[in-house]
Amino acid sequence: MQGNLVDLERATYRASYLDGIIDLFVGGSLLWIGAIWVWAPDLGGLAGILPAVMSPMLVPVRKQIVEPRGGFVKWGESRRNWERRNLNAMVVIGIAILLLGIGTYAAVSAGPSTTDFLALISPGLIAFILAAMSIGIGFLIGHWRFFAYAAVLVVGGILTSAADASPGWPLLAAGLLVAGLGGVMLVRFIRSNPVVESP
Amino acid sequence: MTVAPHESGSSSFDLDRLIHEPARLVLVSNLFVVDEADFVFLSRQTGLTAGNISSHMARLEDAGYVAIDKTIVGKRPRTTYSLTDDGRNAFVRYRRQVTDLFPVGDP
Repeated sequence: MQGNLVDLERATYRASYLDGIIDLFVGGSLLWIGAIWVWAPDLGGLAGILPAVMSPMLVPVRKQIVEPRGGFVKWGESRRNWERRNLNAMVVIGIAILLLGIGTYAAVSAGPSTTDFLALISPGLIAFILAAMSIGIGFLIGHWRFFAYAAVLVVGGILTSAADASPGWPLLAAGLLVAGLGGVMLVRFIRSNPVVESP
Repeated sequence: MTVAPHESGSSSFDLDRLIHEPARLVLVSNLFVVDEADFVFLSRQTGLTAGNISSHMARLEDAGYVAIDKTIVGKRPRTTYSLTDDGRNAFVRYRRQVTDLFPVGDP
C-alpha cells in the first residue's frame, strides 16, 4: 500500500474515532478521579473504580452506538498489528509512569530527605501522569485533540504545583473540557448519522 | 481503453473498466485499505446511496472481485463486503497501469 492509499486508510481510521465516546470515557474518568481527590481524599482507593469498570464497556458501547450509524469495519492486518503494538507499548509506559509516580509520592512522603523539586511537583504529579496517558491515546487513535487535553492537564498540573493545591483540581478542569467536548461530538455524530439498515 | 505501449514494458494499457468506473473505483479503493467493511461504513465513507452501492457491488461480485456476506447482528441485517484475492490483484494491476500512464512528476 503506497501514497494516497496510506492516506485513505489513515483518514478512514481517524474518522472512526469522531464519535466522542472515548472523550466521554476519558473526561468522565478525569471528573471522577478529580472529584474524589478534591472532596473525598479519604476514599482515594475508589478513584480507579470508575475507569476500571468503564474500560471493558467501551467496546460494547461503541458497538451499540457507533456501528449502526458509522458502520462496521475490520482493519487490515498491518493496522491491527500497529494497534496491538501500540496498546502494549501504552500499557508498559503506563505502568512505568505509574511506578515513577508512586516512587515520587513515596519519596515525598518519606519526609525531609526528599528533594525540593519532588516536593514541588507532587501536587501536579497525577495530572502529569494522566497527560502522558492522554498523549498515548492521541497517538493511538491519531487525533490531535488528545494532545490538547494533555496540554491542559500539564498546565493545570503546573498551576496546582505552584499553588500547592489539591491534585484533583486540574483533573476536574480537564475532565469538564474533555467530557464536554466528547458530549458535543457524540450528539453531533448521532444527529448527523442516523441509523441505517443494510440492504 | 487501450493506449500505446509504455517504457515499463507493458504491451498495452487495458484498463479494467469494472474498476475504472468512478463509483466502483471509490468502493474498491476503500475496500482495498481494510479487510472488510459493511454497507453502512462504505455508505458513510463514500457518500454513495444504498442503491448505488448494491448495484456496483453486485457487478463486482459477479466479476469475482468482491465477496458479499449477509448476516444478522443483534436483530439487524448486516451486509459485509471484502475484496477477494482476484479483486486485490485487479486493483493493484489497475493502479500500476494508471501510475504508468500518469507518472509522478510529469508536467
